[in-house]
Formats: sequence, structure tokens, C-alpha cells
Amino acid sequence: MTKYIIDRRLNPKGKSLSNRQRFIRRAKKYLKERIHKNIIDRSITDKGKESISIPTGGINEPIFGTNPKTGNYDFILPGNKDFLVGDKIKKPEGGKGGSDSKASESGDGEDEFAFSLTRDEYMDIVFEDLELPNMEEKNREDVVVLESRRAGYTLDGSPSQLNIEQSLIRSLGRRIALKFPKKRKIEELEKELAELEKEEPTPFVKIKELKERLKLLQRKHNAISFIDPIDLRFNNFVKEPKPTTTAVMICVMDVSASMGKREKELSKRFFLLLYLFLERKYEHVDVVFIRHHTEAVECNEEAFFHSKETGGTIVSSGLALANQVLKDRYSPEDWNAYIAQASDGDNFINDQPTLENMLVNNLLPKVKFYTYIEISDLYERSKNLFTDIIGTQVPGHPRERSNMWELYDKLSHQYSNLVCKKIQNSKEIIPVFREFFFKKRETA
Amino acid sequence: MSQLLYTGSEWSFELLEKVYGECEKIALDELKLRVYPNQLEVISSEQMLDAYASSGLPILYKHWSYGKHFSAEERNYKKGYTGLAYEIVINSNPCINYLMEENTITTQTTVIAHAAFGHNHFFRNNYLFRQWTDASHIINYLIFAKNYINDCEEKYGVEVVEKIVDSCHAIAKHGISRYKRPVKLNIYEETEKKEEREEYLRKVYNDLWRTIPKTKKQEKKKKDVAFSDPEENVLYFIEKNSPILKTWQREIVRIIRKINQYFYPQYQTKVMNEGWATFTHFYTMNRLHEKGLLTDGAMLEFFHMHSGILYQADFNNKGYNGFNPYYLGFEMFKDIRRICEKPTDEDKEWFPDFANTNWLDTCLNAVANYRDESFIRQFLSPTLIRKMRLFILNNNTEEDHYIVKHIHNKKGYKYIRETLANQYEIGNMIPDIQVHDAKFKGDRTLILHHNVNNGKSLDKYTNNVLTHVKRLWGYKVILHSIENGEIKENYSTSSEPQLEIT
Repeated sequence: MTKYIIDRRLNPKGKSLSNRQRFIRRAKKYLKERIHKNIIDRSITDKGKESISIPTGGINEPIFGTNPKTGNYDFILPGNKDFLVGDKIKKPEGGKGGSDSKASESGDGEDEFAFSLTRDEYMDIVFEDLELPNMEEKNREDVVVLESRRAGYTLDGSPSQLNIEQSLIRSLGRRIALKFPKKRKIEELEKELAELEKEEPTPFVKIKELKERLKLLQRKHNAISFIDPIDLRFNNFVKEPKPTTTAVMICVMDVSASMGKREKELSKRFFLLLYLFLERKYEHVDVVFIRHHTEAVECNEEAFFHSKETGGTIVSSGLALANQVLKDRYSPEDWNAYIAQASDGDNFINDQPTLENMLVNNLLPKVKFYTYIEISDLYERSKNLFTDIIGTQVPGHPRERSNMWELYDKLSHQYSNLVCKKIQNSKEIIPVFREFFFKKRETA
Repeated sequence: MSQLLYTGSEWSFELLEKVYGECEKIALDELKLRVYPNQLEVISSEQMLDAYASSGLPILYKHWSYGKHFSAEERNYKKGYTGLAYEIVINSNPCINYLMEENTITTQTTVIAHAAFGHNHFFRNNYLFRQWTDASHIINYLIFAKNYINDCEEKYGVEVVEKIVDSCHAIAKHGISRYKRPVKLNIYEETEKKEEREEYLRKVYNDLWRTIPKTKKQEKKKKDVAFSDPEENVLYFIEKNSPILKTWQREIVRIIRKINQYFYPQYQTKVMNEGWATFTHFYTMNRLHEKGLLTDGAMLEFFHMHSGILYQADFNNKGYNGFNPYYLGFEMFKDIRRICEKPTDEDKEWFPDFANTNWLDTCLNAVANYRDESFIRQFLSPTLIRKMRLFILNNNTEEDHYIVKHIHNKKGYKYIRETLANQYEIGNMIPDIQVHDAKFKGDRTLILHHNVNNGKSLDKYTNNVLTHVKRLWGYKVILHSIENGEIKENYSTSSEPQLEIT
């Protein structure tokens, strides 16, 4: 009996990958809903894999089947303990039929189908059709991206780039051109010679002639190498600069005492989302983090999100630093600048004119896009409603709230590259984020 | 006494070779198995997951549903809800056996005995497999199918192909002509026929014919040809008669029908197939141990695994999930051997034709000539019914009580055996749906009949399935549930014709 044992472990795995992609494409609509629903409730950073369950509706494969709650039939079970013929057994909950399937979120009682997404798949869906607005292609000399491109063959190069096919083609051509004697031919002559030598009487003339021919061939054979340095060809690559899209995103966050834990948490989430988005969508985006209370500090990502400092609030300090950073490091000819700011809306009242001045004269003309989110009070909504009706601040409110909102809101009507939104709870982060960065927004 | 085959738990290719040789001796010389040549392929767990996703077939056309199953399996595996199978075996010639690299050598030995000899013998000898599948050509056919569907996707677009495949999958289980002798898969003939069909259509295509009204006789003829009898092979009927399908679309319907035909014997012989493979590995491992080739430690490991495979929960146990085919099948073959070797008076009364005969011949005969339903009907013994404490419940869905109809006593054995056998009858697993009429002369409505079995009506997905049928048929589809000659329920799709699949 024949048999074969084959090691298949080295075969490519992931044979199901394309089927999986097809499935995800198909389930996308449902995935999107679910992901947007679940992203706001959880932290985005610590996820390797996302477990998502979606209603089976869009991806179910219906076949003809019978309803277990109908009919009158006998069936067999194993493991009878003490039943006797004629015993009646009460059916489990759910009345007459089999057990009900559990109610799901969609409410129609269908089972949900659960599986895991990879981080990439997850992010793809989260950030689908979002982009940084007003992006321009700008070339910066110190950020030259070189791209290797094939450019024929060269006569020398590193051994790893040796092109065997091309080299052998040349070797073959050279050998043909130089009439490189075939080994078979030499062997034939040698055989012939041996036979002639055995012959009686010995045909000396012929032998001599043959020996000379053989000698010539052997000399040729030794002289012409099978492969010669001039045959060698190496793959050639040239590097060409590629136009790049460079952008800098400056994140400014208020970490003053008036920013409570909730406010910080929410702005952190917004920035995290932003950071992940940038990291993902564009390779060449610099991110600058600036946190401020009465003074502004530029810091790294770690410190930005985990800082414990607190104090009063002078917003213009943060913006002044941002302006300085732009001036020093990111000239508008080379960089698209974006600023994202988060605050609770509190600012030292005397700082307001400086702030407005800073925005109007320095920052807004320089940046492509300026997003401002205000983490508003839990009661803000009702208050706002009131303000909108009356048109003024509610008098007697203990703290002068949202003086910044008034300013930004006013400016956003004048400047199309400024947008501002209030965020009250984590559920609003995604919609606001999407609104800011939706691909087809019409800002010029 | 021979040398031990191995002492540790690691396997190597040389060792597999040795183990295979010893298993082969026992399987061929002692159990008299006749098998296809074997091809053992060692794969990793990721590859095993891949294999799961495509119904165990090594090559299959691309479709999102396989991605869906893969995703679910992957999640269950990675979260630790389920383990992976130790092996997958493919009914092909040569017979392909996948062995997982994580397996210990004892597991590999068991798997070789189980799959490479047990299942392999079953595939080669069981009458259903012999009638319905052609092991030599399946791999080639799958390659053909994959390429064909791939080509169609390139030519006509992924989405439209996906739609056709979706719809075919919905009624794939109704693509079998049970009572006609099937034509086996044969790749060469298939390709040739496919070309012939296309060529013929090209040659005879003449747009004029379309406009000439048919004579009454022709019209009549068409109907008569289609409906000498109700057609149980819904997919076949659609492939041949759908007014809207294009040639390449018919070909896809055909491919999916043919591939499903390949699975038809498998779900009718689950108990026997697994039972026989388990019996084979159990016999082989014990013989290896008796011959002094296995250590006691290896045997303990084997018993642990073996009992894991054979776990049958009682009905009131939380883990109860129907009958474990491994357990039921294995116990039945073991029982046949017992009846042949040491029959009791009861056995002699129940099985006069094979009590006290050669057990191996009886088993081999069962493997060759039965399927689950007839196997149980023929061989389930009172001893086993008592051992498993089987009992019959009557479920009248109108009542709120089940009634115990029979238990494992003298009066009950016969009924229990009948009822269990019926449970494995194909009509009890898949609703009986037939094409009853298609109004070629009128509005081209397709009429399906569902023959109600035990009063069970169709479930809530029925309308979805009909939508799929309509996609392939193009015109309105109606389904009547028929019980005792009367229409019990009606389902139908919209009557708006949809003449093209887009």
C-alpha cells in the first residue's frame, strides 16, 4: 500500500483570509453600527482584538427548516433515570414549544453572531471616510521620502542583487559566440581516439590529426570559463524622491483646576481618537502636545494624557506657545498645520481679548483647520437652552461659564476653518469627531 | 515481544512512518480493511482552522459564508470555548489525512488508525459513497469549480456571482435526486460537457426563433417534459428550466449542486462512519499494546482521549446536545462483535442471522451496505438500549407536557429502535420540498410543495429562502405546505418579475 507523508506546515496559512475579507465587507454595515456604539463606552488604546457581535440578519444564510414549536412527534433521549411509560413531564419554560432563543438587542429574538476583528480591521471601520481637511501636497526638504524603483541591470552590485537569469543568458551567449566545445563532443573524440588506437595496423596519421583536434578543444575548454565576470548582471534600483503630504497637528488641552476629572477624561478620549486617526491615516504627520493652565508647556504624549498638574487658566498662554512652535518649526510653506483644542470653556476673564487677538491675527491665518471642543457641564444643555432663549447669560451663576464658547462660536461664523462643538458625555465624541473630519466637508 | 515503537510524546516523520507501518499491518491483515492509498499531511493549527472554514475541503471557491464560519471558529478557538479536531480526512483518492502538528505521537497514532484506515475504509466501501462520490476526481473537480467561479467573478463582477452563490446555498440541500442513480462527478466529462453545452447554444443561437410563437404542441411538450412527476431536486430543476439564468449562471448552479452531492453520503452516515473509525482505532491501539509496541503510559493517554471523544451526556445533563455519533456508532459496532462472539439468548432471538457468526464479516458487511437509518433499524440491540437507557418522549406541541411513550423494557425495544432509526432518516433532517409546477404557459410562477412530516411546519426563514429561489427563477415563487392532501400553509414571494440578476 502506497502512502505519502507530507509536511504542509510551511504552506501559507491564512487561506481563509480572502473569505474573511468578503465576510467583513458584507457585514460592514452592521459592524459600523456596533463599533460606533461600543467605541464610546470603552477606551480605545488597550485593544488588540475587538470582539464584536452583530445581528445575524444581514449575514444569515437561510435554509428550509422546521419550526420546533409545531407538530406532534416522538423522539428519543438517552439516560432515563426513573421514568415509566405514561409519565407526563412538564415542558421547560416557554410554554408549548422548545426553549425560546434569548432576546437580543435587535429585539427580534435572533441569535447574534460573534467574532473577533483584528485591530486593523477595527480601525479601518472606525475611521472609514474620514480625513484631514484642506490637505495640500507640500514638499519639505528634510522629509524626503525616497522610493526604490527598478531601473534595469548594472554590471556590478551586491551579490544579493545578482540576477541569475540575465547573467546566464549572457554566459550562454558568450559561450556560443566563442564556440565553447561541448563536453560530449570531447568525450566522443576521446572514445574515437581510443578505438583508433586499438586498430591494427595503427592509423598514425588519423590518430595524430585527432589528437591535435582534441588538444585544441581541450585548450578551448579550459580557456573559456562557464561564467565570466563580464556575464554578471545585477538588479539595479534607483531611489527617487516622492512628494509627501506633511502635516502637523497641535493638540492643546487645558489642565487647569477648573478641568475636573470628567472633563479631562472626555478631552483625553477625543485626543486619543484624534491621535489614532492621524497615526493611521497619514504617515507624515507630526503631533505636538501642549498642555496649559496659567502657563503652557510642550510635552510628550505620555505626559499629555497623564499629567497631574493643575492651576488657574490662561488659555492664551497655550495658544501663544502653539504659535511659537509653528513659527519655529513648522513654516506654513512646508507644513499643513492643524490645531485641536479642548477646554472646559473657563478662561480668566482678562485673558479674553488676548485670546481673541491671538486667534484672529496669528493662528487662524496660519492653520488649515482649527477644532475646538468644549467639555460642557452636565447641566449645560438646559442652561444653554435658556441662554438661547433669553440671549444672555443666566445671571447669578456662580462661575462665569463658557466665555470661551461665545468667542469661538462667534469666530466660527467668520472663519470657515474654525469649528467648535460642545461635548457633554462620551456618547457624543464619535459623532462630533466624525463631523469634524468627514471626508466631503465643504470648507475652503 | 517486539520493540516499543516510542517512549516519549514527541513525534517525528520517521516515527510517523513506523507507526503507520504497524497500524497498516493490523488494519489490513487483521481487520481486512480495503483502503485508498493514504496521504498524510502535517498541518498547523491555523491551517486546521482554515480547513474547518471550507467544510474540510482542501480547495473551495471563495465565498463570504466561509469567512463567516472561519471567524466564528477562530474566535471560539482563541477564546478557548472549543478545541480543534485532531484530524480531518477527505474522501478522495489518494485519501488525504490532515494531522495537526500539536498532537502527541500517541494522538497521531490514534488518528492514523482512525482516519487513514477507519474512515478511509468506510469511504471506499460504503455503498452510498460508492454511488454518490468519485474519490479519484473530487480534487480536480474542486479545482475546476474554484477556477470557474473565479473566472466568472472577473468577467461579471464579484457581487452578482456572490448573489447567485448565496441563493444556491439557500437550497443546496434540495439539490439531490435521491431516487435516481446519480451521475458521479467526473472532471473531464464535466469540462467537456460544459463546453459542449456552450458550443451548442452558440451554434443554434438565432434571434429569429425567439419571435416565432410556439405551436400548442410544443408548449404542451415543454410542460410535459418538465413535469412527468414532481421534481424533488429543486436546484436541478432551476438549473435546467429557469427562464432567466444565463449559461454561465447555470454552470454555477450546477457546480454548487454537484459539490453538495458530494456531501450527501456524509450526513447520512455520520454515526456509522465515526463509529467505524472509532472502532478501528480502538481495536488498533489495543492490538499495538498487546503486541508490546506501546507503553502503558501511551495507552493511558489514549484512553483519556478516547473517553473524551466518546462522552455521551444524559438528556438532563447541561451538556446534552443530542446523540454523540462517535459514542452511538462505536457502541453499536462493539455490540455487534459481542453478539457474534458471546450472544445471550435474547440476542439469538433478536439476531438469529448473525449471532455466533464471524464478527468481522458482519461488521464489514454493515459498513458496506448500510446507512445510519438502516444500520440502527437492523443492529440496535436491547442490550445497548438498556445500557444507554433510551426512552421515547412524545412531543405534542399543543400540550404543555411531554409523555413518556416507551422505555427500555421488553415492550419498548422495538419502538425505540424504530423511532431512533427514523430520527436518522433524511426526511426527518431536511424538510421535503418538491417542485410541483411551473406555469410556463402563464405567468411562469414556480410552485413548490412542502410535504409536512409529523405536523411540523416551516420556520420563519421560509420567506427568505423563497426570495433566494425567486432570484434564480426570476418570477413569482409559491410554496404550499401540504398535509394529508390539504394545503396547510402558503408562502409566496412578490409577483414582480426580476429578469436579471444584478
